[in-house]
Amino acid sequence: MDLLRATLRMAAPLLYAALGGAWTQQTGILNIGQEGAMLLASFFAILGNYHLGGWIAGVACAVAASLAYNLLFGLLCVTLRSNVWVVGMTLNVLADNVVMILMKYFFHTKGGFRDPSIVPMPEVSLSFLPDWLDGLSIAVWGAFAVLAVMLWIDRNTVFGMRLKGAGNNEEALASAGVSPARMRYRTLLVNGVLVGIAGAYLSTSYLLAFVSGMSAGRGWIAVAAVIFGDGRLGWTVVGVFLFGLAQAAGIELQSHGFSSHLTLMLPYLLVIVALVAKQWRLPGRLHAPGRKTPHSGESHTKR
Amino acid sequence: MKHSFAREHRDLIIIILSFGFSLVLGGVFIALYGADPLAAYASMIRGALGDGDAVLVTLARAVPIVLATMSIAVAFNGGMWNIGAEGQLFLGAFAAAWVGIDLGFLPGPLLTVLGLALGMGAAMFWAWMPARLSLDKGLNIVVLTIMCNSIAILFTTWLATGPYAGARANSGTTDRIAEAMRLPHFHAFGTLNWGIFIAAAAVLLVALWMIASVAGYEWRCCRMNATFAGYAGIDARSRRMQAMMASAALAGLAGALLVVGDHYRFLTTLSPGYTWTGMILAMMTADRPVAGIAAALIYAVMSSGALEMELATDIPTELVSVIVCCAVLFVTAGVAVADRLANRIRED
Repeated sequence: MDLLRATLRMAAPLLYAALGGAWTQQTGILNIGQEGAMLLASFFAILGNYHLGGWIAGVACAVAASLAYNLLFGLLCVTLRSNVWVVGMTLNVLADNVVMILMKYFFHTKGGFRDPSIVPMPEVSLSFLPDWLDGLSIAVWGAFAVLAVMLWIDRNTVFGMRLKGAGNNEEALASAGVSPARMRYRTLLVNGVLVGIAGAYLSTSYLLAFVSGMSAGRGWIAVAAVIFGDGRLGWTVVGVFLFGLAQAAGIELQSHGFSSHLTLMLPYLLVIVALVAKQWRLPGRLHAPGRKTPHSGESHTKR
Repeated sequence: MKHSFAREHRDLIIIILSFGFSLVLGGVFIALYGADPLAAYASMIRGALGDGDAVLVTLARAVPIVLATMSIAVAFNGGMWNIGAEGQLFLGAFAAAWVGIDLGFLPGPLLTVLGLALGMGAAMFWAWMPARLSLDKGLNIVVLTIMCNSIAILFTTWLATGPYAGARANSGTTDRIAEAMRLPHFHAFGTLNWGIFIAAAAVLLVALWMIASVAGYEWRCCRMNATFAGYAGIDARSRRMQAMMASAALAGLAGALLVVGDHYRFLTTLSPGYTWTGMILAMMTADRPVAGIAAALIYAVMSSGALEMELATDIPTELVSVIVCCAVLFVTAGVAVADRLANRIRED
């Protein structure tokens, strides 16, 4: 049960980022800037929390920072049609360095920041919940609420269909009078909000501190989940829980005397195994004909 | 044609303008920080090139950066998104250190050669796996190589803190490599060593390969459109694998030289992200070898001098990376806009 609880705590930030990423993927943009966005959001959550007081201010700052980041991504990749890989990787590195500079500016340190006055996000504790579900952060429950809402929108609304239209056949969508670019921007904004919450969860609930590089590849694992699910929410969620479980198991094994460096490898190894297994079972599924991804051509670096 | 010069060198002009504009932007940032931009940049140049010792330190700093830039440029130029160079660098470095620790009984020159070769080999092995999965199974190489990075870095960290931890346990360093294996330093202050010539030879070789060989031409074809390259009779798969191997070899060499030439031991903090810097620089120069080398040298000067700047004006060294990242964004945006303008003019 402890493992299950740890899995939920690990999977929550992945879930936010993967859900946001799955939608942008549906519109034809594989958002590989998640790692940088999450790190930036973690920092701004601490900044808002510390300077403005209260976890809500922290989350608001985190979401604002992540939105700005995703808008920049949209401006470059959607409006200017630059190469997503170049832009995504550059933004990841940029976020890393900007956070360092802001750390030095606001907290006069480059390593990490921790302060007792930081208010954690509230925990949901209800008497009827079993022990392993009791006292989880509101953000963990929020992730499941977001999942339910997004699943419903994805399956049952016109908006959900248009998302797929933007990715599968943008000419058809455009001739139906909907701007594919606008759909892409909308998913990027949704993604911005979700990744913002994920980042805030990491620094003001999971850890209660900011440590440089604290997103620790979570953004990338979320991207891997999106690729694992090929933009479909169901499979993406399966991927998220698989990878969350691996992270939780890695930490659990540590308490049994295994070297932390070895057990921390688990989720990364599992990502590779999962992607390979999926590809073997469903040959060609990831690059199914008809799925045009004009802005994420996998190997074209035409500039 | 009236604008033929501008048209022919369009990308290069965009690169230079973008870099200049980012420097100005960096200056604005410095001013916001409450310092004088010109004085800050001047302290940067002084710190990097102020006297003979400073130049040697800067050169030592340039070695891994130039190697990393070239490593990424050759991979991207061949259409292989090798984001895993950091992991390849760490594995290469550890392989070289292992030779120096466990095979220290061998004669000197052989040790050095073996260490460098094994370092490059280990890196190439670590790149071969994701490259194969990507080329033959269509898996996403970016995610694969990122995962390989984390695994390689954790693995070498485990080795350096566990089985191969040095006498100063838990500090994340191995024992020093055999005396005979070390490349001697040129001066007492810095770590510049004979490795710079090995690195220069490797970089020039790969640059020539990219510019003036059939392979280089076919790599560019694969980057533009691997499917079309296949129709044109190019063996795209093996060409792209070749690009990936060349990239990994350079990354491994960078790691091995850091061990054999600079630190004489493996450290878990060996690389402050050299290959990420290299990636940014390669992307800024659109994977052009000569421009990439130039950019890497400029970056080495800036980052070497940034320490002096941080002391003088309290502006963090990370500013240099931010400036270069902004330049990349300007270049991609600029090229995208220029492409569209060109198309529009053609259609009119």
